[in-house]
Amino acid sequence: MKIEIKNISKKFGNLVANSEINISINNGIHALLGENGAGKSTLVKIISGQIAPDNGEILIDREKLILGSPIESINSGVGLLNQDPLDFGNLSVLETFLVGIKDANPYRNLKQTKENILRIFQKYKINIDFSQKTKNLSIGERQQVELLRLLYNGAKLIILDEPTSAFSLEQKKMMFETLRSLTKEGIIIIFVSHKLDEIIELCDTATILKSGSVIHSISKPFDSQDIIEKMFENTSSKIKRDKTFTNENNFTILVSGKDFLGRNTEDIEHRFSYGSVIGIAGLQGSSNDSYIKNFFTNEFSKTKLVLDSKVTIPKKTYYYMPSDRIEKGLFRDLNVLEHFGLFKSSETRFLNWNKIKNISSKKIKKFNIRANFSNEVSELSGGNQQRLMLSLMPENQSILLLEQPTRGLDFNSAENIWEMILSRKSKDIAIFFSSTDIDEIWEYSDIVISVSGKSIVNINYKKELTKDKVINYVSGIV
Amino acid sequence: MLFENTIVTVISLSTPLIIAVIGETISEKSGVINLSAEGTIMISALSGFAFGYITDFAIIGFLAGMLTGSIIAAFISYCDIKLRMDQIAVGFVLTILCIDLSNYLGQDYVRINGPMVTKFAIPFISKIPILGNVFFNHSLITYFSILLIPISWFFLNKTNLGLSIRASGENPLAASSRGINVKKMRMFGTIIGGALLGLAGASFSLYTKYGWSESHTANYGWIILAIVIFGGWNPFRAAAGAYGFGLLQVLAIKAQTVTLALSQILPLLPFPIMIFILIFIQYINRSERNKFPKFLISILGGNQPEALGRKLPEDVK
Amino acid sequence: MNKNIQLIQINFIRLVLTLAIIFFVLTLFGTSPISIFDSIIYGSMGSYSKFIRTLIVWAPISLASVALIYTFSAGMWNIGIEGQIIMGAVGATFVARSFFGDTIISPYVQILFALGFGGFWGLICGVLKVKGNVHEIFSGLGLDFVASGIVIYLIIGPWKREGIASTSGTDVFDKASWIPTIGQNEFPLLLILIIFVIYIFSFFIFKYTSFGLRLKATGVNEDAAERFYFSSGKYILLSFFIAGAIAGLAGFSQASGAYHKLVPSISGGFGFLSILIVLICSRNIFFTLIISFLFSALIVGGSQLQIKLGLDHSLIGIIQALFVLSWLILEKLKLEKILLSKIIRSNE
Repeated sequence: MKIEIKNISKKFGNLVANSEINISINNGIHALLGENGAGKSTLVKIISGQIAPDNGEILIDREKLILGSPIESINSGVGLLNQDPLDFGNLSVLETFLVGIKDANPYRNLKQTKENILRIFQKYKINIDFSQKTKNLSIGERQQVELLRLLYNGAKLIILDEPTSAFSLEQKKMMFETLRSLTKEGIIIIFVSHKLDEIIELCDTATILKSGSVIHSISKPFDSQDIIEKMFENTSSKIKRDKTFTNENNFTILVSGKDFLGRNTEDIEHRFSYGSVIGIAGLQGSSNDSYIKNFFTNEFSKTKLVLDSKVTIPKKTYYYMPSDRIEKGLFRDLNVLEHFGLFKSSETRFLNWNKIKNISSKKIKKFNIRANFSNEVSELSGGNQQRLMLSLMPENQSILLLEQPTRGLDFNSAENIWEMILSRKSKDIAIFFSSTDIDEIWEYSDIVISVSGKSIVNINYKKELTKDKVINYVSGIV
Repeated sequence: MLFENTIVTVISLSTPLIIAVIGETISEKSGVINLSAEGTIMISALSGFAFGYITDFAIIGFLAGMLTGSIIAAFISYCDIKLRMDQIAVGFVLTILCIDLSNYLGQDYVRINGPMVTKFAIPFISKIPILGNVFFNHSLITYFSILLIPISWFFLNKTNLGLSIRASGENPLAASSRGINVKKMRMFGTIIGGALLGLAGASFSLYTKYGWSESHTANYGWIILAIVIFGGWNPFRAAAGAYGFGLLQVLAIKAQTVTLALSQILPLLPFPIMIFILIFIQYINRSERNKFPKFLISILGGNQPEALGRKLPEDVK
Repeated sequence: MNKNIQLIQINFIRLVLTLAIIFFVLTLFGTSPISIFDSIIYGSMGSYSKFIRTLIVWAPISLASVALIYTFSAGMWNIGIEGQIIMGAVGATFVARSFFGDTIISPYVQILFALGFGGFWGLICGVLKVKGNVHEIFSGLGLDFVASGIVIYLIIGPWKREGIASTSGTDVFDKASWIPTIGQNEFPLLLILIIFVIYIFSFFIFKYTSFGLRLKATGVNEDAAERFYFSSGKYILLSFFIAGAIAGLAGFSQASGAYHKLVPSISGGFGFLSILIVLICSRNIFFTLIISFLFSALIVGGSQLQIKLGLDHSLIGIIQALFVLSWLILEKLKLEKILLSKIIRSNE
């Protein structure tokens, strides 16, 4: 078994997602590493046939793979295990297993097929009742079923795209054992993950991607510090922003009861001063975004903010900005002016459009939004959408909850957004933001909360941390 | 005797309803609500009767009805998949269009006689006392409707094609990533379902509600939409619902001599029942399942296809 | 501005194409489109009394259409509109049959009851959607039939005509309960006033109130509503209540303006027709007013087709549904844009 990826390139508009990628894997478990936006998921999609590359070819056992077709990839032995189980909750486990099965007609000899499936379950010591509905299984079990299904269908190359984020420790152990035994049978595994500890434990070889290109190919034994340095080599110019800023008022974050997995943890209190910028660091697929959202919706845990004055914080003080701008943050069919109207709608029953126009044109200017009143927001660029969301922040004191505020933006737009956010430092109670870009966290935060997987690993002032420490925390190395 | 006759009447009266609810169930299992059922059944009733009349062969009428139903379904499928229009909007407009179209085109066929479907007693077994008369002394289309129940169940639950259709209606993205041609499956489910709706229409005008008149099959299409939900997207339960409705109709006819009000209102009973079923389905989906006795869930619960009524995701090839 | 002109051009081309399709189909039927439209125009507006008849049909259709704008704005398919019209008519009949029936205030009390009954019926749909998560199409359809069941029960039960129980309707209301008219030709001034009040009110709601804007936002993105500090559920409920109430007025117009009694098919299918109208007006209140008038003229003019041309009136329904279907499909095909750019290019 051998897989050769040759000169794969893919552009989305001006964005180079993959550029001249060459990887060759002969056996074992191969890790695909890289920061957010390095091009890993594009490469995975190309191998599994979901998108076609602009250039290049992939050879599996010297046979050329027909690119851009999921069925071709499946038939050539490529199996993809998604981050979230991509299966059928309403169907029984057996039926879920049978959808797209290699057997020409599994129902013709259902008894035999069932026995074959049972054999593969027994082989990997997985014990699941076939007749129950798939949605009654845990996420981990669903992923295991999916993995077995790929094997049953004759996958020779299995790609795991951050599969362990929802696993319990027990399930992870089992999964890793299974994976190792698979390599002995000659199956190649490509493991996409951010968690260095997992990679070091599991993988034999690794490719590090950055900005769409392969920058390093490494193999066992791994040195975690070495990988981190290679992954996070500085690209952005370092701007000193250590403007000292003090405020005598304090607020408390009460991390209470349970983490996002529902495990009991100790109640912890953290006191910080008003105006702090709190960066929530986490790798892609971690819960750092949920942590931010939770202050607004309280849907995951009881973690909350308390002011020293003990005044309850009214809901209107929170301003939550989701990372999915167009799907969750804005209203696709409404125009720019109507968004400002909506912003005003909590204050008045009647809308005075002249007044709203005045306010909007001031805000459009101040926030440098390149759009007309009558533009629907879906016509705006990402940067302009983000600036529009920022311009809709409450004017008085507030708690900003910004989910990946610069996601998908170019360097200049991101700088621009940050200027706007930081200008509110003296006014706001707190500015929370999440990011998967450690440089961004390091550059703008006063306090860093490090999240790995679903747990908070560390909360501390930046001055008592180093960037490497944060990287270690989010990579799961404590 | 009275009881026996009632069952015979219910079975034969429910023939088109059985065919239609199973058609709609197949369509919805693939993810498409064919909201045009009311219009499809009506215009197929006309085309079935008209072609039967012209050719003097009932079988040609049934085929014409099926063809009409599949053409309408194919149109919905085209709008749904190729034009990415709202299924509900297209189905609704087609309902109105087909009703008026059938009334306009059907003017020449009002209250005339065409070919009739006759009873076909199955030799020997129809002689079995009571049972023979109840089950084996019907028209061919009725036998077909009875056979359709297990066949459609088998097709959906025990064949590869059926599984692919259901998978497409549950999670199109997952199905497509496993190499299933979701668009084709969805189109197939919709068209098969439409053909059965059309056959149901023809069985009204050629058999249970013989002939053609203005708005000949009024409201039956809406009723079958309700029965499909009552059936929890399961052919056997849907059929039970259809027979239940047939019984209501028979009771309504009998009640006519006693009180007019009851006879008018009984046929409307499926609608409030449908609403209660829907509330119940949502309720058990949200709360702890084991709070309810199992038999209650199996009678009243239902497996609503998860992608029912939604547009296909853009990523589906 | 440029955008608006382009929009008008596109809509105009679409209109021409749509009419071409209708003409084609009518010709296919072996009829003459010109004489059909001629007869429709004459039949609906050829004389003052014909025009009045058109207004009586226009009243419930225009009201039901504007009612649907509320629910469509909130992203809801209000198929329950038929039931809401029916219940409005029941409310009006209840008043007409009460001790108010022979007093001069009867129509005004009827208005209140029609609003209430219709609004209540709409609200059931809303509650089932928001609290029960029941799809509004199925609950709406169910409630339509429940409403018509109630009417049939009332007509052959408690409200039956003296001596006989038949499905031909209740006794005719006392004259005092009829919607007041003016002059010999019975110009329905009150009805027209109601229509204009509701339309101006709705225009104002959607243009100048937070409520209207939030309603629209709810329909676009239920999830984002919370970020702007309002709950989409509340707005869905309100949209169903208001839509039901206005549809109730349509029922009032049918019972006390058109039939002067309660009949089994009191809604006349105008609720479903209004859904067709709103589908092509994409929530534009002004368009809705005009299209609902044109569709009403088609209905009234179409009733003459049988006498004048020997054609069945169902042809009108075909024209209406075909118009909407062609319009919706052309909208998706975006043919007009291509045509327009070709026209512009050839001019350059």
